[in-house]
Formats: sequence, C-alpha cells, structure tokens
Amino acid sequence: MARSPGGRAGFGWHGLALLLAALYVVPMLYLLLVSLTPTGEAIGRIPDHLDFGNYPAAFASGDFGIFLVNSVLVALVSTAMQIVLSCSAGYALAKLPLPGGNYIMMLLVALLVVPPEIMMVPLFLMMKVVPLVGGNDLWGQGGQGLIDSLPGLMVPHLVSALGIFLMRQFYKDLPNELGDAARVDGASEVRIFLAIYTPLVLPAVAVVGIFAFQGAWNDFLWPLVMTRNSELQTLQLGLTVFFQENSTQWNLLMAVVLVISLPVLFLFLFVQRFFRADVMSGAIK
Amino acid sequence: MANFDKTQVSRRSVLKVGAMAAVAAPFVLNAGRSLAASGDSLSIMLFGPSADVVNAFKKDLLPAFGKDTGIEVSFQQSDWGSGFQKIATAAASGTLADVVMLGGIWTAPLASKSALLPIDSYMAGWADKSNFYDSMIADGSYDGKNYALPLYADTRTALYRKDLLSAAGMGEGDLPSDWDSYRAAAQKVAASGSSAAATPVYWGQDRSIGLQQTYAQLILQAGGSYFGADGSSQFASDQGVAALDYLVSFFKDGLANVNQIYTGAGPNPLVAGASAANFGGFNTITNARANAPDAEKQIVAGTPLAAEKGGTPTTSAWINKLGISAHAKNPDGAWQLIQFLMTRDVAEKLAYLFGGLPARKDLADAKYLEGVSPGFTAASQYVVPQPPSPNMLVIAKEINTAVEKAVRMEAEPKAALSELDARIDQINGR
Amino acid sequence: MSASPSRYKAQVRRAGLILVSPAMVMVFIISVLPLGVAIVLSFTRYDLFTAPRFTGISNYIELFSDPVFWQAAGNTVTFAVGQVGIGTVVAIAVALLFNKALAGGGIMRTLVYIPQAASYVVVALLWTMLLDPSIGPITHAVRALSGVQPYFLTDAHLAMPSIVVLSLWRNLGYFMIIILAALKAVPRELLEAAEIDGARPAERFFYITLPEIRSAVVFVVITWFLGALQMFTQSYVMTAGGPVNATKTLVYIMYEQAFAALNIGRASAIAVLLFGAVVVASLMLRLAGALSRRAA
Repeated sequence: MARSPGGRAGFGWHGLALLLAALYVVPMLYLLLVSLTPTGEAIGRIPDHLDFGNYPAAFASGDFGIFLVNSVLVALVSTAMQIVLSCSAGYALAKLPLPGGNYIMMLLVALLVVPPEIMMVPLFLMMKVVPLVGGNDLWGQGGQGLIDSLPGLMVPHLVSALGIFLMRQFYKDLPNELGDAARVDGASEVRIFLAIYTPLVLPAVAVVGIFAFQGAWNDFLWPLVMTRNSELQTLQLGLTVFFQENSTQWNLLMAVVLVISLPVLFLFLFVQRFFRADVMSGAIK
Repeated sequence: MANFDKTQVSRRSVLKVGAMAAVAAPFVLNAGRSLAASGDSLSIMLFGPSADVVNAFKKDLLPAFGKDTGIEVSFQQSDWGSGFQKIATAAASGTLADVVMLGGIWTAPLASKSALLPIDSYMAGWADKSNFYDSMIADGSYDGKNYALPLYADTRTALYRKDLLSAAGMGEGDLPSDWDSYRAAAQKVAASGSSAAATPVYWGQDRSIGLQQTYAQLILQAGGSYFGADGSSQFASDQGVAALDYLVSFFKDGLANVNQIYTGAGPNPLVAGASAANFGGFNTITNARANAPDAEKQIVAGTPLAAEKGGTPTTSAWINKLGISAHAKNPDGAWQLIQFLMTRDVAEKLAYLFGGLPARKDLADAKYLEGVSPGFTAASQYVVPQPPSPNMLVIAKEINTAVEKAVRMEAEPKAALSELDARIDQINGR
Repeated sequence: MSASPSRYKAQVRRAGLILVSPAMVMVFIISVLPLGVAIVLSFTRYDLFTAPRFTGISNYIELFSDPVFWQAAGNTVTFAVGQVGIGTVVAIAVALLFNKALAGGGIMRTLVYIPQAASYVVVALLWTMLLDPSIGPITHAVRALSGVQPYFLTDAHLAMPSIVVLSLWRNLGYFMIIILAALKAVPRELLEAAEIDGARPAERFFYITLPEIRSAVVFVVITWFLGALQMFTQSYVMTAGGPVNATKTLVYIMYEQAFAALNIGRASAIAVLLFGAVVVASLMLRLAGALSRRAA
C-alpha cells in the first residue's frame, strides 16, 4: 500500500483529475480534429474523412519555408549564446572572486523582474543606429542598422539574467575542493571551468538551453517590431499574417499551429527528466 | 607556474571562434542585401494582395516590365492591418520600397513627414494624365503638391440582396434613396421573418476602422464635415450628431448587431446572405466571385443615400494609389514602373484583380464591369472627397472608437462626439 | 577552509573577469542601456522622422490626462490580478491533487504542462477558434446550457475575462509544477503527527502545508503577476485592443503609440511608467511575502 505524502486518492480525487485532464485534452483534440477537416466541410463536426493533405497545403500557402529557416536560425544562435554566457558568467559569479560581484548579483536580481517588452521601443531605436551595418555609416546614420535583419532578431535573446542566475545557483552547490585540487595540479582556469565544473551541471545547462530556445522560438512582439520585409519573418509572425488573410480557413490554420508548436514540445518531453523538484526549488531559492 | 594545456586552449578558442562565426554569418549575408540597391533594380510594396494579385505581379507584370526596361523589380507585400506602421517605420529608416501602394487616407500623413517624393515634375510631361479622373488625381495631392496617382477606386454606395428584399416584399424598383426609406426597408426585412437575414443591415463592423468609414459616408450625407474653417474638429455639429443618431437607431432597434464582425476573409456578411443591405463597393462582387459565386447575381447596387427625401445622394471613395519613396535611389525608374502600371491594359487588369473601379476614364466600359449592376459605377458622380489630415490615421481610429461606443450604447451620440472633438483637437495640437 | 592560495589569486581574478565580462556587456546593452534611452526619450517629442525635441514632462502630463491610458492601466491590472488571483488558488489546488498517488498522474501532469510549449500566438489562435461565435465548441456548449448566444471576444464584458481564462489555462502547468515541488518537500512527519493529533485535512492544509510552501507561493505570485503586467499578444491577435479599448493593455498602447501614432516620446513614457509599476509591484509583493513570514 503506497503512502504518498498527500495520501491515497479516492474516487472524488480521480474524478477531479479526469475533469482537469479533460479541460486540457479536449481543446487539443479539437485542434487536431479541425486540422484534419477537409476544406469545405463544416468545422467542428466529425468530418466524413480525415484530410491529412491539409498539412502540406497549409505550409504551401505562405512563405513558411523561409519563416522556418528564420525561426531555426534565430532560436539556435540564441540558445547557443545564452548557454555560453550563462555558464561563463554564472560560474564566475559562483566560484571566482569578482570585484563588485555583489553589485552584479543585485543588478541581475533587479533585472529578473524587468520585462523585455519595456525595452522594445528603445532597443528598436538602438538597433536602427548600430554603426557600420545595414547601410549605416560610422555614426549609425543613413541606413537601417540591424532592423529587418536576422542578427537584429536575435539580440534580445542573446543573454538572460535568469539563465545567469540559474547557472550560478548550480555552480555554487558544487564543492570548491574540485577546483582547488585542480589548481594545485596546474590546470588552467579555463580547464577547471569547462572540463571539471560544467560537466557536473549539464542538467541545468539543458534547462537554460530549453528556456532560451523556447523564448526565441515563441517570441512574437520583437519580430513584429523588427521586420518590414516578409522574408525576415519568423514562424509566429507568419502565423498571424496567415490568420489575418485566411481567417476563416480554420483547418489549415490549426494544422500550422500544431506543427510550429512541436519543436518546443519535443524539447520539453525530451528534457522532462531534468525538470525535477530540485531544479525548481533551486530556482526559487 | 600554470602548465599550459595546449588542447584546452585550442578547444576554447575554437568555441569562441565558432560562436562568433555563428553570430557573424548573418551579418555577412545581410551586408550583401543592402549593397544590392543599385540603379538596375527597384522594389514595389503592395498591401493585402490576394493570391491572384501576387501571381499577376510576380509572374506577369514585373517580368514584362523587366524585359522592357532592363530593371528588375522585387515584390514586397504586407497586410493592410500593419501596413501604415510598416511604411512609416520603413520611411523613417530610409528603407521604404521605391514604389509603394498607399491607402485612401495615407497621402497626407506620409507627405507631411516628407516620406514621399513630389511627382509634379514627372506629371508635367505625362501624356496619359488626361485619361484619369481629376478628382482622383487630386486625392493624391497634399499642400499643393502631388505625391501619388490613383490605382483603383473603392467607391461606396448602398448595396442590397435582391433575394432578401423580395422576400420582404420589395422589388428592384423599390430601392431606398434616403435615410427614412432605408430604415423602413430594414424594418420590412426584419418583419419578413426571413431567418436568412439575421441582421437586416451590416454597417461595416470589423477589427479595423470599418465603422469609421461607414460614419464618414453618413456625416457627408448629412452635409457635415470633419473640420471647421479654422481647422477645429466639428463632429459634434448638428449634422455629425444627426448622422450618428441615425446609425445608432439601427442598433437600438435590432436592425444591426454590434457582434456581427467581418474579419476580412471569406464571404462578407452581404455575400454570405447574413444581411440584406450595407454600404459597400465593387470589391463585394470580387468577394462574391471568390467565395460564393451564386451570390453575385443577387447583389444589386442602388444609389448612395441622401439624408433627406429628394436630397443629393452623397458618398465617398477610398482611392488606393501608388507613390514613390522620398529615398528612392532610382526615382526615374520608379516613375517608369508607375507609368507602366497605369497604362490602359494593365490598369484594367489590376482594377479587376483588386476589386475596385478603374481610375481611368477610358475604362468606364471595361470588360469586367459588364453585367455588373450599373449602380457601382454610377455612384462615382456622387463622390465627395474626405478631408485630408496629416494625423488622419490616428484620427480615424479615434472616430471608430467613438462610433463603437455610441452603437454599443456606452455613450450618447452627442457626448461621444464632443469627447471625440476634444481628442482630435488635442491630436492636432490645438 | 577552501580559500585558494595567494599565488593563484591573480590568475583566478583574471579568469573571473574574462568569464563574466561578455555576459555583463550584453546585459548592459540589452537591458540597462535601453532603459536609459527610454527615460531620456520620454522627455522628448520624437516621430522617427525628425530629430527628437526636448519637451519636458509633457508626455507624462498628456498620458495622465488621457482616459485611454487609465483604461489600459486598469485593464492591465485587472488582467494581472484576475489571472494571478484565481490562478494561484487553482495552481495550489491542482498541485494538491497531483500530490496524491493518482493512476496516470504523470501523464496528466504532462498534459497540463503542454500549453507551455506553445507560444501565446498559438494559444490565442486556438482559443479564438474555441470561442468563435459560430463554430466554437465553447460557444456551442454555453448556448446549449443557457440558451444565450455568447460573444466572447466582441462583448465588452466578456472579452477581458476570456483572455484571463485562456492565459490561465496556458500558464497553469508551469506554476503548478513549482508548487508541486514545494509540496513534495513538506516533511511527512509533520503531517502525520497532526493527523494523529486529530487535525482535519483542512486544518492540516492551512496550518502546516501552506506555511511550508509559502516561499514557493510567493515566488509564483510575484513571477506570474509581473509577467501578466506585460500582456500584449493576446490582445493584438484576438481583439485588436477592442471592443472599445476593453482589452488594451499598457504594452499594447505602448506599441500603438510607437508604431502607429509615431509618438516615440509618449511610448517611452509608457515604458518608463510600466517599469516603475513593475518595480513597485515587485517590492510590495516581496514585502508582503516577508511580512507573512514574520507573522507565521
């Protein structure tokens, strides 16, 4: 007889759980159903046959190929950069004596609450005057800077205060003796960082990576602000254009909606084993 | 003394170089893009084009133009919803397409910010000029200079569903001509119990400024105007209030429904048969042809309404135009492209594809207009232009909000319009 | 004692600086500098075309006297309070549920978490369909149960509540898991001892469980609330700020002012005000959390 901390679940609890699950499963099943409804049939009823051709049809009706490439590039570079920066800064803050380390921590904690949306307008203007790119001269005048460019889309996702914070927590939990011993043996600081400590926090690295990927992949407001040229749009932005111009083609829209959510979903499920209680409680502390 | 571990150093620098290359690659790729804006290429930007329009441009018109002139034209498009925003920010950063499509009320806002190139010098030597309606050409001017030429006109008039009217006992000869008879017709449709016409009149409710466009026609019909002689906003004038009272009365009596919102795709409410009447333009026919071809022959265009019985019918037109960016690197080439798109055959094709009335006088008998209710073209004689304003985009949204409030009974018409006047005066910096 | 010997101090310090600098530079560029730019621009009139012109605090005065600004501020607060107020209670309840041994509990937990993978755009579009007046199943259900045709997104009284519900639906998984983790850390002995002493389940919850998971609840409330203050996508995609400004939020009007009205100065002022609100809110919430700890 298993004793879980909450006690054994009786009928009532199971019933509630089923209700809750239904609240989530039903919309998702509905999404699936609509996405397979043939065009021309009433949406919402069980169709007489399922049309899997909706999926290729939906993706052919926009520049989704380009959108996909853009989203992938932006998300991958952002993830890589965030991992690199979070690990290096987190490690330095956790294990190395930094002058002003406390001030940096305070700044990061303060920034944890600042939403990126607030930065949107000034960041947009800053992107416009980046010197020597996009037709700008040395003073950042005359062109468009990083607006309407892939690097511009990546900028807000290249570093995350939360990522640095998280990595610092995990590095901090590791014993200093490892590094001290390695130093005595003559290892360089870089080697201590990369070969000794970092391999021990790979689960946290995975978490940072997932959040980074998700943030970049699902971002909507920044691409909306930054792109004029439809060739630079990401999947989320392309989705809204698709919706506005085809807003009654629910079946195709639902097909697209489902597919563009899959990458992050797969990442979640794949890394689910890292989402354990200790990771979360570490974040809270 | 730290022992240098050579493999670790090289691994770290590889990591560094790799990360930098990943970030730098798109820079390099994009650098090529801005260098390509030379004299041999142009760009054109269109809004809300249907797939047919896109194909016509990409596969047909632009290659033909390229063959004639040797200029390669790249095609950009966007939706109407964020269209003005895109143009404004592109113009501000000097990256606007060379030839750009402009919505009906966009000329003044953009010209006042020097985002458009004055084209008077080009027009002086333009032989084709006399073939266009003067009023439409004038619509592309601001502060004494011309900035844009008309591509097609979305001229509005009173549209009806023959079938739903006859179910209510009205024939084609009984089409209303003034406000009172229009209301009476709507009541007859409601009384006929025809479940098909769930809402007798559709007044243009949408997610954008559809209600504002409806109200613009009504206030012009009432003889009112947006601004007084001194430039102050006067929507709360007697005519403005009368127009809004009239509109609100339909919603009050259940002859119109605030929740009947057309999202912009699929059949519009008239084409779908959900309503028996609305103020619309020729794109209703295009909408029918694309979504419900059987509905096309049920749509009949009457004359625009007059406020009083026996008064002058009045309506307005939203004329979509083409202009040249002030930063165009090849303005001569841009002018060539515009001239090309305005030639008779191309203009006819575009007007048809976009679903509007031609801007050329010699297209009054265009093929695509054959068999279509003559009321569409006949309405052009009753067009009264809307007053231009550099802040019109913002003002139009404010008007729409005020009208929304009134039709939802959240404010009395007079109060809503007074508040509107105050806001507009503030926007105009008075 | 784990202090590194002094001969390593120089190399350790140098390594620290090298490792932390790139991140700090990026943080400065992406977070600190824009804030400064926003503050400066909020005192100017700037339309992107001509150079910014200093106008003092006129942007702020205009904002404070604009009823639409206050409406947007009210909508934002309503959205945040509604979603977080209801959501925290629901998250705790659901976490309690999942804390029990349930058949298929792992699968159900995953199900609740899945919407987190979807962007707000995706969730907004899905729910636009679910709430559609003609084809939406939720609309059908409500009509069947009550006989009234609901217009979820076009009725001024239903639009914001609808957005609150769907946002809650999406976010529940994340916050529920955090509370669940905290629940699992509650010492079993405390609960068993209380049960032996005759405490009823509700008493056990309020007097033992809740205080034990307090820091998690505080974290959830703060994070969720601050995130909710920035709602934009749902309004933009589903209702365009309507009906009649009922779903306009502060970020929405900031976007509108910057890119539709080309009033960068006013948009920056909104950004600064929002930042101030976020700082104040986070301080107040932390204070409340600390006070509740003192009181316990």
